Amino acid sequence: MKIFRMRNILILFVASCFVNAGAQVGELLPGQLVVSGSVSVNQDVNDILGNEAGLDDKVVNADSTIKLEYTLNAQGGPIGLNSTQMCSNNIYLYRVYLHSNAPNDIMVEAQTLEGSGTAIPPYPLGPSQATLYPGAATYDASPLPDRTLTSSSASFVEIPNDAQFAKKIFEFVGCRTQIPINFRVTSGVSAPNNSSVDIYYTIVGSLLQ
Amino acid sequence: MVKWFVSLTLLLVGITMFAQGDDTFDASSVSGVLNSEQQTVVPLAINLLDFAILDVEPDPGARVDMGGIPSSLEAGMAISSGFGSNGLVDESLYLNFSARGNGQQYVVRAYANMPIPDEVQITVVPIPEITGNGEVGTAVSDPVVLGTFGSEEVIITGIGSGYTGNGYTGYKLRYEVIASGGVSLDPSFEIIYEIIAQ
Repeated sequence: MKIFRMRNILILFVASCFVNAGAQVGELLPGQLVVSGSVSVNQDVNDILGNEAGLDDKVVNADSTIKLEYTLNAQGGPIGLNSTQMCSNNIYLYRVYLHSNAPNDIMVEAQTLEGSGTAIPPYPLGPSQATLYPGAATYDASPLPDRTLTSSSASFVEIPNDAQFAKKIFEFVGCRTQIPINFRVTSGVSAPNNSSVDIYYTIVGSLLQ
Repeated sequence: MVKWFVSLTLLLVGITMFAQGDDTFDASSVSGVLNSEQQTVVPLAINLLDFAILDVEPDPGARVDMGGIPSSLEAGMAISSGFGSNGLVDESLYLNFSARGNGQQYVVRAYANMPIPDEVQITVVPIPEITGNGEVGTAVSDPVVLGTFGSEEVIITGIGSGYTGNGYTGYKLRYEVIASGGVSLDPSFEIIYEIIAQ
């Protein structure tokens, strides 16, 4: 009897995990993830001169103009709310995960600085903006997390080349634009001269508790 | 039994979900259908240089002091007779290098920075003690008699993309000096190593 009771508890526990996970993501409104700009790594002679003979090739900073943004879609119909108004009225938590298809002798790392990017609507709201965005003003007055960006690390984070283990680089609350992402690459001597690595940006939204 | 198996499987799934936490995410099947998940891809262009660099360790201070008056020297005999049949031998220096070839191969050459007196013969042979990785080449098997600029001797061939390891590793340099007379080398005498495209 005890065994059956324990089994039932286990099933209920696991089932509640699925139910919770579904509830957290099922009610979000649609939005747009946009990653603009480009990123490249161009090794020059000075990079080589800094190397120690006998060791593998080492890290090279990338030239990155990458900017990430996520905003909610405007809502049509008789009420008609633009994207910023939608972002004011519907504030969620977004986590950004990166992975790549880099070969094993190329390691890609990424970094986003704490608080970087621009909140939509602005944060903190000025007195005149509070009336324009009452939803965001109400949210900001609540004890819920600030509408800002939190970086996973103060330094660069390795991006795995395995889609099943995409790494969280940062998370932010509310819509946000102009989030810069820096990169650096460590290439082994066996890496080819010219190659292209796909960087995958995955954003996962969830309701704030 | 089946029920237990199902329960155990569900438990493991649940544990896996919690164990993964929010630091990582399975992004292999993001469909974009859910409002909560989206994915996009941007390429990263990587342009690297082919290069080959080398040094001799210890660095700085790669210096060999050989000579002096051997205690076994017999009055009336040539000075070199006191150094044994192989002359003076030193194995205190190591050659380290790193190279990216991308199909290009490199060789290591050695030569002296000034003419070597006829009474002196200097040979070198690299002995592999590699702790690095990749295509680090093949050393000559027999000692090579060093010349000066214009008569460089190849001592390692077939280097591709690889690195030897740094410090007292890579290729140990075994020097032998045989002096048939009482001639000394100039204090500024140096042996130069270079790694070049084959």
